[in-house]
Amino acid sequence: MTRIKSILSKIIIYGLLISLLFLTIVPFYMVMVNATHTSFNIVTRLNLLPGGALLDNYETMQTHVNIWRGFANSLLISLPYTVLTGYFGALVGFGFAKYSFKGKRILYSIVLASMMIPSQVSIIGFYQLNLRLHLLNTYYPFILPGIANASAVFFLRGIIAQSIPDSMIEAARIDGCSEFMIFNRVVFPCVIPGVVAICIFNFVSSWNNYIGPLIVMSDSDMYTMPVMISMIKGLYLTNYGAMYLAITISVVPTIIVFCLLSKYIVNGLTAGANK
Amino acid sequence: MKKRIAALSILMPVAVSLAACGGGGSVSSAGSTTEAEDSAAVETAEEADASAEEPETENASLSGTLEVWSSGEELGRFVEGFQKEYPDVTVNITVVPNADFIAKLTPTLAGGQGAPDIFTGESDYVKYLVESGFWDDLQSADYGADVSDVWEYIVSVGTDSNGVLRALSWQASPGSVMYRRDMAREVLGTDDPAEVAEMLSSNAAMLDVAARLKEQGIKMFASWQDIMNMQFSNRKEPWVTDGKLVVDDSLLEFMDMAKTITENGYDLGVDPWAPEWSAAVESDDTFCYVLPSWGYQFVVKPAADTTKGQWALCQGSVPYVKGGTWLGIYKDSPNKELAWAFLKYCCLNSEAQQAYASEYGEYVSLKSADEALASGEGEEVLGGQNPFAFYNEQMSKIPADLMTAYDGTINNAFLSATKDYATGIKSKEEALSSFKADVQNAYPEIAVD
Amino acid sequence: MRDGKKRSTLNKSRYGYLFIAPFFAVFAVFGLYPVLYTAFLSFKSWDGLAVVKSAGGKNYARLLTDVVFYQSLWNTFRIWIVNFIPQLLSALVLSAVFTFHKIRGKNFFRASFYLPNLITAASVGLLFNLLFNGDKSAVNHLLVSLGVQKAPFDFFNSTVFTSGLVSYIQWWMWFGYTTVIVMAGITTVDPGIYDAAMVDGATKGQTYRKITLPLIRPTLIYLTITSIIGGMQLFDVPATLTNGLGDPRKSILTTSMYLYNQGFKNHNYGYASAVSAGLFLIIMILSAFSMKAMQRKEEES
Repeated sequence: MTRIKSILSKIIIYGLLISLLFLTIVPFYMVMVNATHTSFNIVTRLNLLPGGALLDNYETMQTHVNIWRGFANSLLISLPYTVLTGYFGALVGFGFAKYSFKGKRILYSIVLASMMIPSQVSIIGFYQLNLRLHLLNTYYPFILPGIANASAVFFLRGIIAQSIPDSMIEAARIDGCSEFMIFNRVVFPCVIPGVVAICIFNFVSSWNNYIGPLIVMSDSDMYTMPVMISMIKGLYLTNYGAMYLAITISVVPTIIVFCLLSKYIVNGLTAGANK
Repeated sequence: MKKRIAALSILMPVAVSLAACGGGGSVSSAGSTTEAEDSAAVETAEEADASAEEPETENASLSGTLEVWSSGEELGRFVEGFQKEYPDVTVNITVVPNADFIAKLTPTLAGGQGAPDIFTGESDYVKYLVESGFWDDLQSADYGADVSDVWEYIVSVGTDSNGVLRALSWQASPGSVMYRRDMAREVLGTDDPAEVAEMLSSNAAMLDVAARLKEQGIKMFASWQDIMNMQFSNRKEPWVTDGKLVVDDSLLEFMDMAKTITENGYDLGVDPWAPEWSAAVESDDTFCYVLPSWGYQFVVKPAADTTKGQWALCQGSVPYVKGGTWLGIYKDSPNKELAWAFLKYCCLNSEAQQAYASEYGEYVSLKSADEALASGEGEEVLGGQNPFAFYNEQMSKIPADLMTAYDGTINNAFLSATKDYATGIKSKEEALSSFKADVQNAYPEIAVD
Repeated sequence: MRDGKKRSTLNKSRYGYLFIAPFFAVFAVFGLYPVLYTAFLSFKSWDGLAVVKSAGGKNYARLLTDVVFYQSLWNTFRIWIVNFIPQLLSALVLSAVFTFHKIRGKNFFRASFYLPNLITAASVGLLFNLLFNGDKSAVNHLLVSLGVQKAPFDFFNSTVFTSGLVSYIQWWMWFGYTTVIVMAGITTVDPGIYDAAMVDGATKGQTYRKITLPLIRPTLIYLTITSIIGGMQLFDVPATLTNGLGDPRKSILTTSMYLYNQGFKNHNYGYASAVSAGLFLIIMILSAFSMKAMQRKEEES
């Protein structure tokens, strides 16, 4: 009886997982398949199997934009940004979670409020700011704000408050660790799964950042991937195949980063178990 | 080789964007592999050429780097020829995605630094830029543009309300009805553009033809929204006159026309630039597109394969123009001399335009260039018809320029309202009142009755 | 003893300031100016190119009576809530399944669920437009050939459908992310607690509801608040799904789209800034409200 019940629950669970898999994979699959078709095929029929136009699409795409350049540019922004986000998110989160000081509530509210500002109109001020800082046509305006990523602080503060007992910190102090060492040696390693989760998310959002780089960069050699995709979209002679190919290429690194890092979340699970 | 087949702007499945039309754009003539214009900085590839051709002394004295922002790639095609004449000038063209051109331009101009020497303005917002004073007076002593050879319409759009010329264009976009010869022969008994035009000479006549086509299972239009391109020139007054919104009678008539088309299934029932709309170039049940010259370049010509030779251009109920991209010199540019040389080369040099038009097939802004091309051979796709000859005739007939700085937004609002009426969701009064509310909301300073 | 402890807290408090300092330093440099500039503009009348003129409180007065603004807020909120509830529920169910069952290919499933989050939102809007736009679109083709629908359906002329589709797309893009975050929260729970619960004879389901969920409340608060914030700023998907004006009949006009259009399309930058400020205020109120509600629950339990 229990056996039947367990088989039944297995069927339900796998049925659920596979139908979700179907929902998430199919549109993806279509993007990739369409990258190998001519635009004419794409607009006239539903393509389920790869076509033979991949190379043609690639050529077309390259005559309009240098996609690999955009790829490299986006990496130059997203990688350092992500690293800063993970580290400083945990550091600031630690400061808020484990120390008491005057004005903490207010300061923390400011952190949260900084997330709530609609970004569309502020790009005008953002441009002027970078003009005054002489940071136009550089990547700093998109890398350095990783240090002030409110959502990372918010998330990691919660994780640290929850999972690091005060006794652990006290013990480290007694062992003679400085406060900074406590963070680096004790706290940070413990919250790596959380750091990784927030890093993946921020890598993706940084990778997809469009309007900011468009406005700050006035040298097409410095354009990022999303700007280049938008350029292909905006051309009057647009080739759907080339556009799908560009989207496919733009998704690859995020998939790789995700697959690499998602292991850490799993390992984090076992690390937690040994704790 | 269908690789270049569809000319789809994707900005736009995103429907209503015929208003966004404008653009010049890339033309892919069947076999021509466009040189990899990296859209990035176009480097000076001068060495070889410079020694081969002797630059005029006047030109040789010009040197430096010119920064150009363009909402399309086509402007970059002038660079090679330009640098043959000005070997010491480097032209950096930055292509900015059209949808966000204003979003990039505004902070830059407002910031006062980092602006390019020259930038483009598409028809949706060109009047806004023309009136802003950020473009130099092209007829001032520094420049002294001679516009006698430019189509009047181009000059009129580029001129601000004080009569100062702020911008010119290298292209012009006269309208047409692009129809299928084979279907015209079968249903209308002729495929001759003049005779077909005769049958389409009013909106009512167009609907009659639509009914005849429908009997044979053919949809007359790809999308009724295309017709808006033409109705735009059918008005007596612009959208805004003396600070008041004007809904011209012809537009009220157009709303009914859209409803008739929708109810009777005279079109595909999709928005322009939707996949189905684009695919109709190769269909066996769609008769025509109502699009200006760029529509032939980007929609019909690149996609026509089995229908090659089966297309023709004729006039619809009224001659019209729609779209286009203008070019002006930034008022604080440190390189005005270079900027003027480049603008002059693209917009006022007949030989340069002829070379450009014959290579890329785009209809250009100088009468002499278009006239020279009108005597050439016809187009294979058009069954031998010469589009330049056809469009020249149209240009000579088009009514006055009715563009305003508000057009982009108002056109889109009007299309949305017309669609609600045509699909039976709103009554005409409801649709009109929500249209007026939209205009008021977008531009509180406009008086709306 | 007592004195000693107090002193140590005092001493350490400066480390608190030290550790949070980088955030405020960088925020002051990159974040503050744009915000203040927007606030400044909200009291001005400016078309983006001409001279900036003072408008006093006019923009705000207009905001208070602007029906389109309220409509856009309602649209945004509706799209958010319709996607957030199923999103959170599916994430909780999935993370329970992944935590308590040995699932073959667990990593594969989880990675695949995350996939939709990796494509640029603007491209996602476009992709779904292609799937549904027109009589011969993929979905219409499928529905008609399966006999579900007799005639093709004009999807993008239906307000209910279009708004629902945006919610669906948001769910589709975010449920995998939410699952991963919930699971990251779960990994921080001390497994010893589970052992204790098992010893007490609790079932897996009970353990999850009674022990795991309360313990990961900070994670759930985080998810809710960031989802409100992100959801109320929704822009890319609805902007690219139809014509960017929120068609059909403004059903997917979000507040961010509205303020973008007021600024960069209609050139009312002053008013667009006031709409920004209004949206900011609404987001603050909603966040504070839900945070209060969730924290009270935390205190109760």
